[in-house]
Amino acid sequence: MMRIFIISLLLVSCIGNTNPKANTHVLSYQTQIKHVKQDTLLANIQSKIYNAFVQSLMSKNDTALLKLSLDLEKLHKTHKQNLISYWRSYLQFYLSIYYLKYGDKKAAEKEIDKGTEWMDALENKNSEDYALLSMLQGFRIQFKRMRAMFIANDMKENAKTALSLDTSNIRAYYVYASNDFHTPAKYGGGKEAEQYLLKAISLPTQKVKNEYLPSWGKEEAYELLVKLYIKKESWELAKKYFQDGIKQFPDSYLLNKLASQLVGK
Amino acid sequence: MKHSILIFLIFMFASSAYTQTKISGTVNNKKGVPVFAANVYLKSNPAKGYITDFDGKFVLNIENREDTLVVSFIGFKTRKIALPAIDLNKSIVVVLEKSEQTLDEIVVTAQDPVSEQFSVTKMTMLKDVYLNPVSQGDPLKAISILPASTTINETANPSLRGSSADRTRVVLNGVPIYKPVRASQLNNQGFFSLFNPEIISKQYVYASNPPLTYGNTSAGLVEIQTIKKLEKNQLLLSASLASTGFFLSQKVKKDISFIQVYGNYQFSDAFTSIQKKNLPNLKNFNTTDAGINFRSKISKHIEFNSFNYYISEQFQGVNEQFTYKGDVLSDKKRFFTVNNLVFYFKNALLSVNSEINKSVQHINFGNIYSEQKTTQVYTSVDYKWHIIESTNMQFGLSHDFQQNKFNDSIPLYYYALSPNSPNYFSKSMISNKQLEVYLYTNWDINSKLPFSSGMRSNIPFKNQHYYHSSQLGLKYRLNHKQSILLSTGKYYNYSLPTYYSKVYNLLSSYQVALDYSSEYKNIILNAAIYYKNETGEQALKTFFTSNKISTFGIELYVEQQFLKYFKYSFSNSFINQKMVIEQKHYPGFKNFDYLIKSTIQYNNSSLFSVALSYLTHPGTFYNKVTGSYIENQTSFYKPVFSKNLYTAQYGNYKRLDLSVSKFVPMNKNSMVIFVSLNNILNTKNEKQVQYNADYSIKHFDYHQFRTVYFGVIWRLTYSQGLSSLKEKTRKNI
Repeated sequence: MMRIFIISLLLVSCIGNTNPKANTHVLSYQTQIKHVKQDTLLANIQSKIYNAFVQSLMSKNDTALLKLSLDLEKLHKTHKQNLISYWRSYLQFYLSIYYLKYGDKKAAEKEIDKGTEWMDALENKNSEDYALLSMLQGFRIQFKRMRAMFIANDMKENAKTALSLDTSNIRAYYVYASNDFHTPAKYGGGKEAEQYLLKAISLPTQKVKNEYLPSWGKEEAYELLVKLYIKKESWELAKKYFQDGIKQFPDSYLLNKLASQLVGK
Repeated sequence: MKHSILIFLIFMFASSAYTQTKISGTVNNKKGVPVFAANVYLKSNPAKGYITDFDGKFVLNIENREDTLVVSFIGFKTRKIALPAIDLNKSIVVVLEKSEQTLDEIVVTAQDPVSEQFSVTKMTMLKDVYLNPVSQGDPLKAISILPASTTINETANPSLRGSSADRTRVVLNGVPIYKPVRASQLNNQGFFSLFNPEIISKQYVYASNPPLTYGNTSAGLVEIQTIKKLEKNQLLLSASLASTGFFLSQKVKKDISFIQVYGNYQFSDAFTSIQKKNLPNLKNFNTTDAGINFRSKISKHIEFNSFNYYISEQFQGVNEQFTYKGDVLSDKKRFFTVNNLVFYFKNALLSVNSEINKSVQHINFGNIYSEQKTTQVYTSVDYKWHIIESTNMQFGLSHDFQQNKFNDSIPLYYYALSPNSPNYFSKSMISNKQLEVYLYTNWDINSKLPFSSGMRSNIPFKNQHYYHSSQLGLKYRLNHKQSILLSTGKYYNYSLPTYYSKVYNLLSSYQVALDYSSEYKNIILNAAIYYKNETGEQALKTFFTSNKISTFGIELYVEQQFLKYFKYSFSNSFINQKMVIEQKHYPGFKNFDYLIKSTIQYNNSSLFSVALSYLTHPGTFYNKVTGSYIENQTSFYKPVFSKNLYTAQYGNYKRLDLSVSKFVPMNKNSMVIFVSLNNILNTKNEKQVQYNADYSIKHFDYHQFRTVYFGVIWRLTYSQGLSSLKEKTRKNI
């Protein structure tokens, strides 16, 4: 129930991903030889960030998120890895949502700015990096009216680049679709979201399971697809993809909250 | 017994093949840097893999010696290694290579200038031209907002860091476009450039130390590239107080070729009739221009681009020189074609570039009549080679042929210009050839420290001097938001002949510049300090020439966005310029204690945009007339100039402009309505000193007074285009 409440807060404020749960089974890492030192902070980091976010919302206190942020920062000081920057930026996204939820727009803007700048500054960005950058930019637009036009352009370009670097990256498809879905029709939006979302849900969250790497995107893609069909009043399709999605993500609040709109259709 | 032994041996062999063993090693990239979080697994069981640690290390159990080791990571090519090929007793090193880019990416990256890192400013059309409060939609005028721009005569012809416009070159798709402005002062808003922003993708400004991939410039360089990819088919229709036009962008073959066709007709009737009082020197003008830009992929690795432009201009106004005031009539016809053929190789790019330019211009004022016919043929071959990840090299050869034919009537006495005053006729033809070779390298010493060097030499014809240009550049990136650029070099160019100076003078300069730039959040801060020493005979106003000009400058620029919709920019330049005339030093034309440019904008696309811009600088110096006497042969007074040259100074220049625009989205189409009010304070900015008949009373000709201009542009997107990427992903879908 609490999870449902918490996710609902997200929806009020953002267009981006909310799901930390990868639709993957846990790898049998136990079988691996233990003498190679594994990092414990980054293992399942996506879930850790989400859990810290939930904890912060429940306690109305940003300590959990800030602590994790600090831990990542410390790790980044000793290991200048792009992947750590990725997760730091990803955390900033949740931190921004947290502040936005509690009405601190300035802090929300500041945190998303940081995350976007870190991602932007990364050298040799890969498809995942571009996808996250595009998503952060999409969220950032609400704070930057003056520069909205430029950010929207960058956001689109980055989503395109993410796709061009890896045409089977589920998050790239989702972010591209999300950008298109949220672009008003009078500015040319809403034409491509459907096909990109259909593609996204057909892809695995990860090609090879890897607990350090991102696995978000699929649940969000289902949710957006159902929303899109509801908007178009294509009720049969909306119900079909709702059922498909709920089969894979039975606890998904994102999907469950749409159920009421499909009742009797 | 034998059988037992054999069975035992077979069993042992077989079991040894399937005995669990380990493989250990490190995953590195090509630079030897460990790859963290790479997937390491066996082909037969991807789920039972390992993820490398921060040192790129891994250890993996092997159950089947005949399996294949797979190593993968985002952005890298997956490596597959057959286990029998691996000595399991040793730790192995797996090197991952970056994924190959798509051809489109190679094309886009390869076409960026090799010297890109060493340009001071990279301008995009949307942000830096269309939303630039001083550009009036003109790509070259947009440069005037930069502190490095020292254009002070309300023209689009760029002057950079105190140098004359004749020392700076504008290059389009690798070929120089000389005199890149319209001949007549249309709209009385200054000379506009020849370039339509819709054909342009990027514009680089090298305020100092132009890259030696191009020649014939001894000040700065503006490098323009036309668009490589057409995003959508669209038609632009425009109508304003003094013009009407269209611009059509159309894909010919999806992802293969596109064409852009445009035309404009400019006329003065409405513009002059509503504000006659403020346009005292303008009688009428009309201009017709048309352009075609065509791009096509000939094959997967060959591209062709052709830009063709024609302009015909007529202008009638009033001019005053010395004591004669009368009509000035001019007309000009010009055509040029720029063609590029580009071949893409795995790590290199070969481009063959050509330009043919023809123009004819007539000017008539008093007893001056001038006809100038110009022909220019330019060809170059450039080879850009990506040697290794950190090093690029470009070399090439260029040939520039120019010919000018003059057919003039020239006043016998420079101060007697009335139609009845004596004159003589002169026909002349001059030409010049420049054959040059160059080598430019760009080496990233590390990710924070790119270094460049260039050299360029001519192969002299006939009596030409041999010259050798060279340069060095070092950039230090303090972090991703801050950088310092140190550049220096020696440069050569030829002046362009004019009615007053029918000669190709060899000019040179030595430059050193330090540029700092930073961008933090919503604040952009740029600063520069530079020195240049220019030599070579340059014609100055009123029949003097200078053969040495030294310039020291300091620049500061700050831009900040605030309160969501607001943005301001402020720049100031201090320029100490000295010129030498007959071995004496005088203040240069760009000797300014301050050159302040300031703008404030409110930009809300759902409401409207409004911008105020202000420019001020001290007046330039001119020669004072101290007296006069009657010259019997002409019955005209002949002026006597002060022996102390350039001691008189025009008044301070001040100009405040206002522009307002409203963007109206209409489904997939849009409309922009704009109004601009120039010199809203109607400041009388002195342009040229004038005298009465006996030079006893002086008065001034002024830069433009307050004028209003307005218009509307419709952007009609009649079919949403698909980029190659979209196509690719769509196919995938």
